[in-house]
Amino acid sequence: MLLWIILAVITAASLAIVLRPIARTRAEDAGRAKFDAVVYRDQLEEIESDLERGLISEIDAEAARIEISRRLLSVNGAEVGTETPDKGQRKAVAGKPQLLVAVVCALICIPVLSLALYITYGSPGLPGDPHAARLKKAPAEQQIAGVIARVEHRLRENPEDGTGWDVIAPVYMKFERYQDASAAYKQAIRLLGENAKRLLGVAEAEALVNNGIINETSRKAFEKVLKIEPSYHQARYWLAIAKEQDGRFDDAAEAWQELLSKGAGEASWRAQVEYCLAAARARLKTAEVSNSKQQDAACSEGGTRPQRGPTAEQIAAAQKMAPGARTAMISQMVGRLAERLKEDGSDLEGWVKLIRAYSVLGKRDTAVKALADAQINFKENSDALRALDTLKQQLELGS
Amino acid sequence: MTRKQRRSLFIGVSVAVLATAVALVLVALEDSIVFFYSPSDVTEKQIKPGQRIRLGGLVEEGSVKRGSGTVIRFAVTDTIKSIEVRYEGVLPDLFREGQGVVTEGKLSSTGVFDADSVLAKHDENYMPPEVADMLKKKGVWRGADAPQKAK
Amino acid sequence: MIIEIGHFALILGLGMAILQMTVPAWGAYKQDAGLMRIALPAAQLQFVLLLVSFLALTHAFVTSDFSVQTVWQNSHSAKPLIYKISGVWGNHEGSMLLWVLILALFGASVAVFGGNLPDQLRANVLAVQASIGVAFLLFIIAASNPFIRTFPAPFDGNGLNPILQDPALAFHPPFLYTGYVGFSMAFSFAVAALIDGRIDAAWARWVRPWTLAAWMFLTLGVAMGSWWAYYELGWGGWWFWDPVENASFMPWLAGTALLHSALVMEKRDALKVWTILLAILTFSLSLMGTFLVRSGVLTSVHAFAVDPSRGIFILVIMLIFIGGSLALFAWRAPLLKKGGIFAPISREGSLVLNNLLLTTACAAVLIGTLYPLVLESITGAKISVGAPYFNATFGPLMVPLLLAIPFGPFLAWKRGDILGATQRLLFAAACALLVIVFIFATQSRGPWLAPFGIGLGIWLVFGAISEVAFRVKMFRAPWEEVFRRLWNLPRAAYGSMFAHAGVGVMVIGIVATSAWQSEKILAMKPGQTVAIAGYEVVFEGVAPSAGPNYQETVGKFSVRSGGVAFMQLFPSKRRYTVEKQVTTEAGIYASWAGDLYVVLGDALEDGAMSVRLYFNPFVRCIWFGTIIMFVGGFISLSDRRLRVGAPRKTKTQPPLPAPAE
Repeated sequence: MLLWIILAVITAASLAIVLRPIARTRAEDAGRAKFDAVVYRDQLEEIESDLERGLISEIDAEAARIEISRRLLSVNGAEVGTETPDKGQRKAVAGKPQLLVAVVCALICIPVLSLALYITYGSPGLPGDPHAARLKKAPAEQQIAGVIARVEHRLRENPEDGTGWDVIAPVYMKFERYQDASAAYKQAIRLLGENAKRLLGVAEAEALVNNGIINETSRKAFEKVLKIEPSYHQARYWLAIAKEQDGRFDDAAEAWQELLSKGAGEASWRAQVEYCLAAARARLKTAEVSNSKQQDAACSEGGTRPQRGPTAEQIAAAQKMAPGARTAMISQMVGRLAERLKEDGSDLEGWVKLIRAYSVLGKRDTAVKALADAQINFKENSDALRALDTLKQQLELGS
Repeated sequence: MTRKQRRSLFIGVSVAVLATAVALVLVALEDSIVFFYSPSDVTEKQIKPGQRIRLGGLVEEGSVKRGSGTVIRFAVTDTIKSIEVRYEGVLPDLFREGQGVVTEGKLSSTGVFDADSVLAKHDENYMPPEVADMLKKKGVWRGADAPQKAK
Repeated sequence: MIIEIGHFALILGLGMAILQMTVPAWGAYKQDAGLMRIALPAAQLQFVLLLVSFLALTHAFVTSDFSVQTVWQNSHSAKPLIYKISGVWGNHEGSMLLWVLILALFGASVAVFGGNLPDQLRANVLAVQASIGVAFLLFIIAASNPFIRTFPAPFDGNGLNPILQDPALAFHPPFLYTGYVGFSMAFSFAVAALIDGRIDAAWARWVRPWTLAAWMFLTLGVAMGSWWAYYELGWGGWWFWDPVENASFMPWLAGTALLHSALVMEKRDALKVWTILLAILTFSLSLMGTFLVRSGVLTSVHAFAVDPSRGIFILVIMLIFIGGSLALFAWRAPLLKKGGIFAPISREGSLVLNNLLLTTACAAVLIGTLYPLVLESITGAKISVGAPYFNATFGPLMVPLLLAIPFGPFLAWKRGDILGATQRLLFAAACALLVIVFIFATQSRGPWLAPFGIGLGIWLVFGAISEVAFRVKMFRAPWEEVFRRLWNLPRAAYGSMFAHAGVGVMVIGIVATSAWQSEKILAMKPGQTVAIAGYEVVFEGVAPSAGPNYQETVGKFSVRSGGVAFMQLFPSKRRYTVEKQVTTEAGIYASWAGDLYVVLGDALEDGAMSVRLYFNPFVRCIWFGTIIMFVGGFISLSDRRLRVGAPRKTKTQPPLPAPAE
């Protein structure tokens, strides 16, 4: 309500100010030529003062005077010709109805137009919502992003707070803000010194910034982590990926194997590493046989995935995930595929992919079952059956 | 000098200046405009080595190679063809794989494009209009047409 | 609530503009003083309302009120205060609001200071001014409204493009816009004169100072943009003949021409029709500049916050105003009274030459800027017109102009004495020649034309000084008289001296930087030293650091000269956390002899960094020259005296001081 009162007052005041000259008794209408004459007279005076100050010579001044006087004369002539004294009075009389029209128009049109536009575009119901006021609210009311913002805010004010950086870095990782995570870990290292966790953080974050590609710097960093803390299997995992990216599938497979043997207890890891191991082995095998580009997924993004599988974005996303989450994502995708094929079993490629996926995930029994289902689905299609047979042999799913 | 002579002098000088300007503009337009091509255009239109052109497209994923020196090699692609580019210098801040880029330079006789300038834009999500148009024409445009800022 | 009041004030401002556009024009047509007078409070009120609106938006930015969409999209709570404020015009919506605010400011000043204008002229001028305002206010309210709200408000904003978070760029748009929009005054006066079919004596007296003010701001605005591009883009260059740069440069060229032709009109009552046309063209180019910058139709390194769909709206506004005013010109110009006559060799003649060359150069720039657009729409071929074109066309047109500048002030009005002028310029010519010979003797590097370019700059500087020296009878009269004359000399004379000398200083900077820039690109490992332009630069390494809203990698370089380290440079790569964008900050050691300019590139594999170094000799002169020009304009503007040109009677008279300016 207050807003509407203020707006009404503003409008009323504006209209009053604008229409005031009309209400006032009119000033006399000076003839136009008189303005010209004023300018020329000023110019004449100017010449005199210039002459006095010695800026122009007498001869120049005389020439200028003549010229300006000529202009002045012509103006005066025009004034006599066009401006008659009674004309001004006639105008005054003629002005009245026009004024009335203008006043009425202004009084009605301006508020109506303004109101219409304001109602169309304005949001009279919304109060202001400055940021500072919101920061004062209790933390419980805030979303997680708000909490991050508060920590960031504190760190901006006090960038030498090493613990703060140390705390926020893993949070950045979780929110996939890898660049920030890397920066935060670096700050923590600068202020609190190196340790395995921070080094690993930097290296992981940077690898993820590079879409999972591990460059020389990152590789060295991972090696350094392992030197400090050999139990950090994540570093081993990344190094294995690095090997795979270099095309050294045998080394990679070896590394996966080693990881499986050392970190056997960590169940959440296991499936993922097994998957990678299988993939590396498969690639190793097929690399000898045929063009590796046609082959199924390897762990890193190097190979092209089969069509209609997870999209490139999904793969990239999977790449960026923590190993545990990644396995979850993959099994979710496989689950979806199975769901789809149960409804519509005519997609041979889908079946092939599903069977392969089960096989590389180490779920042999499920793979065999899926193969059987597929064979039932395609029992009238000899080509498809042949393809499935080949697959069966390839994946050694025969009983 | 009569008024008429004076007038014709003014006109004469103006015409002379304008004629010079027109000549300059025509010659300069002939010599110094640079055409914009996509990698496929370069192959199709058989651009001759040594001709100064602008080559635009996306920086191919995984193609950027930096040596120990300041020479950088990368490939510009329109997803149909790609051309290797060699550039010596400091890349713009927003140069990134998979992002749009416009480079200017000459095709060498070996088919490598020798760029002497690389333009990437201030705005992270910005696609140079030429590149966007080209990708649209080739039917490989993926980006949204929406304004740059996230809504 | 403040936001909503601001929004309503904006809309009410439109109402006032509509009133100001219609009623006074109608009054002028009906010769009704009462109706015409409405323009005065309406213009002032329009300004006040838009100011309220602008302040409300500023308040929203400063308090980071993200319930306002524009604020959310272009600001962030962590931004330093200065960039929260500059963020108001760092985006499309806010910059358009600033545009109309400045437009309204000029309108209001006509209303306040226009007491010496005939009612009818003033009413028409204000009506025309308001019509521009109406068009842009409609555009703002309907298509780019800065007060659109979102609910619920997002927690934090998207931030301002980091490359805009820079002190020079914070104040670049207001200056540039004041320049652009300032030319609207000349435009409104021109159109008003055409509507009236007569040009009042007060016309030029008004138009010239306002054009001068606009020109000053535009000069500084363009220079700031160039300075910013120089140190922020990290390319070592200061002018790229980029479409957006050209968009601001064309109005400047036309505005400079207008300034000089308005001088002729004010003093000699000549060149009236031409001046009117030039006023229309200058503002048209300003409108086109706004359109080019805002629409992003041309590829530019300066393009921010562009939105093609809204660009169309500005295009329509632009076409209506340019087409309408030119049609009006074609129809009404023949009615205007022709002015005085003058000989080809005279002050007027020299100013005509100035206008001819400036407008031709402007046309050449225009062709180069628009040619890619035209060619693409006709043949579909995509081309770019780069620096070589502009250097090949603009340069040759500028040389005769620059050569002629010092002659102008020495020529008398109406009929001049070229021989006398040449004699008085012998000193300047000798200085220039001496410098050319000196450079040839000492400098073996660089193009052979470069020493002549420097000579041209010297010629301009000394030519400008010679004029004042001559007028005060330096070395020819006793000292007391010289001092008395120096004191009495009209400020306008000093103004033109500074402005012309500023051009000279700028020319020196441009030629020196272009001809003798040294550049090195190399991979540097910590501890490595590189020699450039007599300096030794040692790369000490990189370290991470953090600012209020960015993380940065700072490179440390020490600069040695003759084995003594005297300076450290810290170029950096900044990564803005919110915007997720990287900017390059150059490390610059500035001295009068030149700038040492270091840019940090990418990290290379073996711990080295790629580094780019430049030495730009005398580059400061470019911006220092523009500041001198600005100062010249300011001095001239402060001269409240009237101006009249006294013609010389015969050629045979002994040389006399030039008339008052």
